[in-house]
Amino acid sequence: MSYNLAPPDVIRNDLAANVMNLSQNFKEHSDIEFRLTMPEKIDTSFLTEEDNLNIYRIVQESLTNILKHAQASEVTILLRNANEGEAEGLYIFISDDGKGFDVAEYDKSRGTDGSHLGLVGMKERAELIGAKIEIDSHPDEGTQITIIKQKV
Amino acid sequence: MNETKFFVVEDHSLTNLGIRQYFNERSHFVCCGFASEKDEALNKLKELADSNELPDVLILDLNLGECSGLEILQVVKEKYQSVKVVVYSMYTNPGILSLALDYGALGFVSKDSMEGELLRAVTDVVNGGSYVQQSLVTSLFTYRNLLDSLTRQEQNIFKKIIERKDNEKIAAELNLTLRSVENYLSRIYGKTGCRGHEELIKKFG
Repeated sequence: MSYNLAPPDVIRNDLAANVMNLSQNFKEHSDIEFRLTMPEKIDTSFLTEEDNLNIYRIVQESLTNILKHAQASEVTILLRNANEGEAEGLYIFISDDGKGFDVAEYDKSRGTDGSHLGLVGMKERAELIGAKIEIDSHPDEGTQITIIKQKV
Repeated sequence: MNETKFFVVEDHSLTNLGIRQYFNERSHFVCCGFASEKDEALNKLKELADSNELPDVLILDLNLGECSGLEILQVVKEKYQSVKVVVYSMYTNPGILSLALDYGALGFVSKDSMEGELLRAVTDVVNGGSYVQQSLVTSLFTYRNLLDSLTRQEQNIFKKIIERKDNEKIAAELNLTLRSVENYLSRIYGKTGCRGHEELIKKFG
């Protein structure tokens, strides 16, 4: 898995810059209100190239899902490092205010009724790089994807 | 210099008196009334409005809980837009500051500061400007950034927590189920790294 990992849309080994690019792209291609928040100083230096690429793909997939399925009017992405009391690392939160879904139902039916949201792929990518991913969704309450990559 | 009419809302009578005396000593300030709580304040302001003598500036203490200063602020700005409000508060966390500005306060000063700070705020506001005590600006900026990272519904809920409302009240006011409020809260906790109302308030409130 070490060659051909960096397709042309990943400009360099800088996650913050790449997420900014994704965000810009999202804003240009949809009318959904979009806000990206990150502190002035964010430490992503501990991420390997493979971490970077996989996290990037997870964020990208999340945004694609929102466009395709969520019927959202608002999307926010928060990138930050640990707050007080949390394990050191990178924390990413992708939220939308769309129609949401029942996570338990989704887990039962995945891939069999055509409602596949690529969540399996996202989970696999997270697992591959030892990151934690949480998918929190409820009908009519939107969806939040949380990705936590601890610094080791 | 033109005369400036001011009104003081503050529940500690000695502080209330102190503020009035401090401004009365300055020749261009004239006190047109004072009150210690919401109903008294609104009644007196109504009388002043009826006789066309509304204050130019209202100095408002910001105690919280029942009949909070934030509520007085909201009503005053709704009814008497011409009255400029300077908040003088023992609460200085960015959440409260941000709400006060949202509700239309033009000045915000901590009770810990010297009286000159309040005078500066009132003077700037009367002259058409706004004034937030410098030492509070950085945390306000961080807080606004945090709000930006929440969705609108999360922001609605978060602001009500800052106003010290419990989940039942928040659910009722936003027409949500309690369960739904809890779902949103767990997202807010995730983003802020906090684990409960108390921690949110302590950190941002």
